[in-house]
Amino acid sequence: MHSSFARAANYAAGAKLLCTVGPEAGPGPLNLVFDDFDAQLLGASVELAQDGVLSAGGLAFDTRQAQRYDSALPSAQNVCSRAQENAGKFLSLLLKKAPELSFARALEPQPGPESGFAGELMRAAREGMELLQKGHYYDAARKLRGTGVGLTPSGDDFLCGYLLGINVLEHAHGKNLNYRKQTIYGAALSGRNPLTDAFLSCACEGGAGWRIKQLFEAMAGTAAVTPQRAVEAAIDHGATSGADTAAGFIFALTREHDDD
Amino acid sequence: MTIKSVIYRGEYHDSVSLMNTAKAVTGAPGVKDCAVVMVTQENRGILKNSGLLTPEVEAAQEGDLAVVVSAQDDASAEAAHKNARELLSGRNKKSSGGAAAAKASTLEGAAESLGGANMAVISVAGRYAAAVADSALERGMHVMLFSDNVKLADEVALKKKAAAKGLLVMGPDCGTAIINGAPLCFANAVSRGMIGVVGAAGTGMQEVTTLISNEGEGISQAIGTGGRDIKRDVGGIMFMEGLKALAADPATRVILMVSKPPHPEVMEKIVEAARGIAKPMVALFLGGDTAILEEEGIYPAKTLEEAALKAVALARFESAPQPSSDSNALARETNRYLMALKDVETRLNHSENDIKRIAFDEARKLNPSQNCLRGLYTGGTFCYEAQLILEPLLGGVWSNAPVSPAYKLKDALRSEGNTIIDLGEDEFTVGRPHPMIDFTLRNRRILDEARDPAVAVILLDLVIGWGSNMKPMEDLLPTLAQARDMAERGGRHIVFVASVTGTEQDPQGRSAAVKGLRDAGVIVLPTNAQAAILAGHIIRISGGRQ
Repeated sequence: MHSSFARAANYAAGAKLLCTVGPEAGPGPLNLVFDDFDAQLLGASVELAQDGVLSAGGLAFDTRQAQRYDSALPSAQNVCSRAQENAGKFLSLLLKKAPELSFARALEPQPGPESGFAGELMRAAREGMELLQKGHYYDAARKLRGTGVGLTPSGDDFLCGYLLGINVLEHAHGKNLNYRKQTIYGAALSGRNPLTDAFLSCACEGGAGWRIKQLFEAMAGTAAVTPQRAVEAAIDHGATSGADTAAGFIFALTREHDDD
Repeated sequence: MTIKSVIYRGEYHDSVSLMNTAKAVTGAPGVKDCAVVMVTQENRGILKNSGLLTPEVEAAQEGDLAVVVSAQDDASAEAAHKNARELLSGRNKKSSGGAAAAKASTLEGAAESLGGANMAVISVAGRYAAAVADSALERGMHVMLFSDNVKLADEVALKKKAAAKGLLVMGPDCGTAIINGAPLCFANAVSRGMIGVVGAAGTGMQEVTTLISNEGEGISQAIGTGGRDIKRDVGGIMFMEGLKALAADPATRVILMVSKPPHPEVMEKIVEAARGIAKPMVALFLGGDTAILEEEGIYPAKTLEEAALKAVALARFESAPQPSSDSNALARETNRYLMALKDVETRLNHSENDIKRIAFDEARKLNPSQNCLRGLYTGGTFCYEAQLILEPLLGGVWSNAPVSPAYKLKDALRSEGNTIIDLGEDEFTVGRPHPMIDFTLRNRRILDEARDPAVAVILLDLVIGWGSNMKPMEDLLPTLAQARDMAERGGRHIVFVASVTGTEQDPQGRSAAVKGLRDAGVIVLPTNAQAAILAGHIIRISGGRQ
């Protein structure tokens, strides 16, 4: 077990990560969702056998019987283009709701007076974002990774969102942006935080949790919820993680560097 | 100026805990700045630039947790670190039990460590709750089942078993009870007295028990049943057992029933049971037909306030010297009793007249475009009661938990016209603490509503007491100020109307909460009913009838 909380327990083995969560966290590329989650029942270690049976705390769960979640973002060109066209509108919704210290705040057109730790954090975030916009992906990822508050630092979450955004751009423009993704991913890997490293890996491959997927669908006009609700759901993850990831995703779609 | 850091190795806390800790420490006296972060090379850079990098952070390993405090002196820094440690370990929570509570991982362990316990309060995941409750019943214990998502069949089976053993199963999804003076789950510090309450309405029970206590009377027992109990499927098993228990309890001399209208078959059982109970009874079945009650000598009420005041009037009558068996004397006493109830009606009418005067004054401050009401409730019963009060004044009121299904909001996140929201509904609480504890969602919604130029009145409840938010003013007032500023920048005045449910003996203190709200410009009325009436009159005067 890497870490355990009231509503989630994370199990890490090398670069592999399994997040066991309750229904409130919902589906994601690394999530195994339990209707009634209880970290104490699962215990300190879990074993996921090749046949799909998860053994934990003397209990066995047949994950083959579980409902599957497809973490891939839609790839149709017209849908991705529409999402990109609408992304700017979602930035203003995000800024209305994003919590303090989240990297979304660094996207404020007129930032308030900043000082101390919070001020330095926002300054670092803006510098990293400027590097991304200039196409200095390696330097940007190095600047942003591991920066900020939270169990998964804001900079890592932002980069996850940004990588997911590049996946959308690939489909929208019919371009191969793999080099860009791999540069960011390689520079962002810490080798020390299995959580963020695993999330970055998923994002690089285009695997998104339901919150970002729903946000994408809202941008593309195919979601069952309103844009406002989609943004609120995206933000409503961790303290700043959701807003950070959404900020990176929207940033990728709205401030694309077009030298590739 | 001093900078002190503490490194915690191998500790992982969820992001919300880290953020809350940083926020709480930063706002402490003498603290200039604070960072609670995972140690990474990049965060070291940020700390350095903000003047918070210490040798301990430089020496820490990646992934360690660093708490760095910049304070005006050593004492403030040390106090801040102590506070941070307690917040991170969860030790700062006030204990209602005084001495440290014993920890046990099983019901058996808990029962053995306490010795002689005869009640189990169960709050485990719904899937497991029925089995734990069954085990408690097997041990001869009463059960308060705070858990929700218990299967209907399990609830019926548990309640039948309990009834056969003469035990109570309060719940599932039972949020409040006061047993032998002990407040359980969400409940208030009320005086003990002669009024017994049985109800299937959590915040409704909190409102009546606190009003009774604040009127100078007291509660013998308050037995919650869980909302499903009065439905046909469960058949009111525990409502009937609760009535039976109160009828047999010598300390209970007046019985008050509170719930939404029971299923007609359950209502028949209640009426049948009431016939066999010699104690005077008041019933509030919110929005229900009262004729059948009156025929059986049960005194009906239309609001929580009226129900509480009628119970108080009955209790005062009961505690007065009893008449002789002389029939004339009995007649005189009956007349006195009716006079007491008449006093309640007079008092309520006076209140409404006072409220109308306030409404005219407030309506004058509004722009012509402002004619909508938004009620943002943490208490489900309050939300329901407010709709019942507002409908005759304003016509249909939209809600995510509507009294009339025709007024169900399409999207609970978007208000329409006059809207009353129950923030305790599942759509808002999945994965979050109840809104009586965590104000985040309501605060967001207050700001959303304040942005709407049509909004004239924002109606709120504030429930204090055990289980609720321990720092309600700290968490609510900045949002109210922000909402007010936002509206005023747009040339609008928003009327905030609220009621506070609680007593002076509650840990937050009722008068402190009332003063805090009033100082922030909120009109605070003594009850939810009065607050809703005021809100309704303001909107009616400003032309907001739908």
